Amino acid sequence: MKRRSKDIIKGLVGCCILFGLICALTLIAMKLGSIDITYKELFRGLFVEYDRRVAIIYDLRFPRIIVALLGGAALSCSGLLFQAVLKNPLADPGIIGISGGASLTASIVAALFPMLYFSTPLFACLGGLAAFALIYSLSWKGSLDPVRIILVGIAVAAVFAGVQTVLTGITNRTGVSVSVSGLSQLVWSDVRLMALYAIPGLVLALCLAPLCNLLALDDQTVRGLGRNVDAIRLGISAVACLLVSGVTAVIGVVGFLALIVPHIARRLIGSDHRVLVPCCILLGGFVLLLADTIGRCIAPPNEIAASVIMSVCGGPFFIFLLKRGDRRGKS
Amino acid sequence: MVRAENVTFSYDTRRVLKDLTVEIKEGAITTLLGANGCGKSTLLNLLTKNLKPAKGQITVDGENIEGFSLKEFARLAAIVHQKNTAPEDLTVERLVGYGRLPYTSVFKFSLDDENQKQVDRALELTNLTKLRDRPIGTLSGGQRQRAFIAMALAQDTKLLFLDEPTTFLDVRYQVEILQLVKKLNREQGMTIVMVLHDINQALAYSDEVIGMRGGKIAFQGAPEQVVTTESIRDLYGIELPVLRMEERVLVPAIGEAAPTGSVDDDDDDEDEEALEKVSGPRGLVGVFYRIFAFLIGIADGASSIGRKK
Repeated sequence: MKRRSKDIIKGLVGCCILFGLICALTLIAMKLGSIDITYKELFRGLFVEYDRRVAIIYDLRFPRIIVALLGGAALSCSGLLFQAVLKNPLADPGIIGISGGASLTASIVAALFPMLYFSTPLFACLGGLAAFALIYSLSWKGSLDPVRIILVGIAVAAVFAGVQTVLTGITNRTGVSVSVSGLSQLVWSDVRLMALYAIPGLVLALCLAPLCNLLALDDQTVRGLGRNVDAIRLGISAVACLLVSGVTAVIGVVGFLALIVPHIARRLIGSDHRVLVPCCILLGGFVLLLADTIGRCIAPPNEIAASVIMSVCGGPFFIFLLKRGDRRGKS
Repeated sequence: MVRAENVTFSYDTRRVLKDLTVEIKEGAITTLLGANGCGKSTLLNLLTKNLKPAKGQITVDGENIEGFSLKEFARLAAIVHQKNTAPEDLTVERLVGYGRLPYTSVFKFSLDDENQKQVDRALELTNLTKLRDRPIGTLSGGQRQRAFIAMALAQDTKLLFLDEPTTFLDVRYQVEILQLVKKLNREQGMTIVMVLHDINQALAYSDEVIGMRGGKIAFQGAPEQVVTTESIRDLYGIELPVLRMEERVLVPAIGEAAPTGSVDDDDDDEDEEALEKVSGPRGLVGVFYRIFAFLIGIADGASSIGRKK
């Protein structure tokens, strides 16, 4: 009893710290950029009287910040769910082709039916689910073989990426870009679009967290405890697909984040999904916003993509955490 | 108590059980013996509702188990599998707490008094009370297996199935687990069905032995009566001496393979085989994939610079 509450308190403290960090980072991200502004001016411009410079920041910088927070949260949460469902630490929606499927369907819809803009995430979600069904059925051999899932997933991802390139090549001639990528040039409608899909997804993920804990046991064991493993797996996968598809439809495929954030969160806070899911959501938002802000400010006026920053800084940090964990495990 | 009637089962095209009928005695320790691939694991999975028979039916106290929901069945019978995984940092108490799932909701944050009492009882029986706050990752092999048995005990069932509970343990822990099994049977009155590979352990700890061969029951009865040189040869295709010393029967595992080769070697247990294959290369392959995944992540990022311009 004592131990249980200790773990929860640890989780809560972790989440509070992360939340504080996010608030601080958001404030910093609001200020930084090509338009230099003080907080006083910003505050006045937002709440007291119209200021042209603040209006520009409101229209360009704010959507970007919110999308980065929501997108990072949704992506890393979906990565965590996929890792739980597939029992595989490498299950990243980017690597196993879920994002690819979502992004491809989103592009096709954007190219052929531009009037369906607001339902793109819905189609992206269908694409993601289709990709997941494909990978799952192809790698199912009586049971889930973790290595096989990754192999099949990489192949599926490669096919989707190839078709996407072909599609981009064809549509580029007509002067219409259908593939979305990165966090630049976002507007408030993008925020609404992403929130529409990401927020319900995140709420569902928080509710399903105790079920993720069960999936850490063997399938037979869970069945022996009177729970339908296949139904649990299907439900969590659907939520994970919803999360990743909403993000992919708005900012395209972002690699690495969904793989690394759940691992970092697990190293920091343990494997209990009831605290891991909220922690992962907060950490994901924080990391993507941090990467985007750094990328925005490191070499103005050029921008470096958030995924590049994440790869360059996140990789070594992750290795450091792994090494530290190994040492602690031994002693 | 548990009865399988005319049960037939096949994996894809390979028929594993053919028209098998068997009855498990109430209140006894019953051990399934047989060569790899004879269908004993399959039978166990059928009895525990993990697999569905193609033909025939399985009943508990006269009721067909098809009629029970998974949750209802989990209050009736508990299973401890051969290999178990759990997160390294999960505490023993929480693992055992999962055993109460058939009675509570998974969304409850902590157990109520009644459920907690059952968890305490299970910890007490398995001698894990002192270790209740320890993470699973820090336990020894025997303690780990005891923790999973405790989880099954928390289900508060009258039936307990154990699939090769001693296979991955050294002899000290093997005896410890079997003593525990005996205690559960004698003191708690549980009906226990287990699969064992060690004939001597089966002899020493079972009230009843069921020998299986080629998907059929070869013999069934009290171990002193049914275990003979002939029945062992029939089961495993190997000639072993059977020594009778006062009350005990011993089968030393030294001898020569019978020239008849009555047990097909190629008919290996599929599940076990698959497990072995995966666990072999996993370590090294895992390292490669991890490296591969990193490269993909970086390549992904690099390609998006190109797209951005």
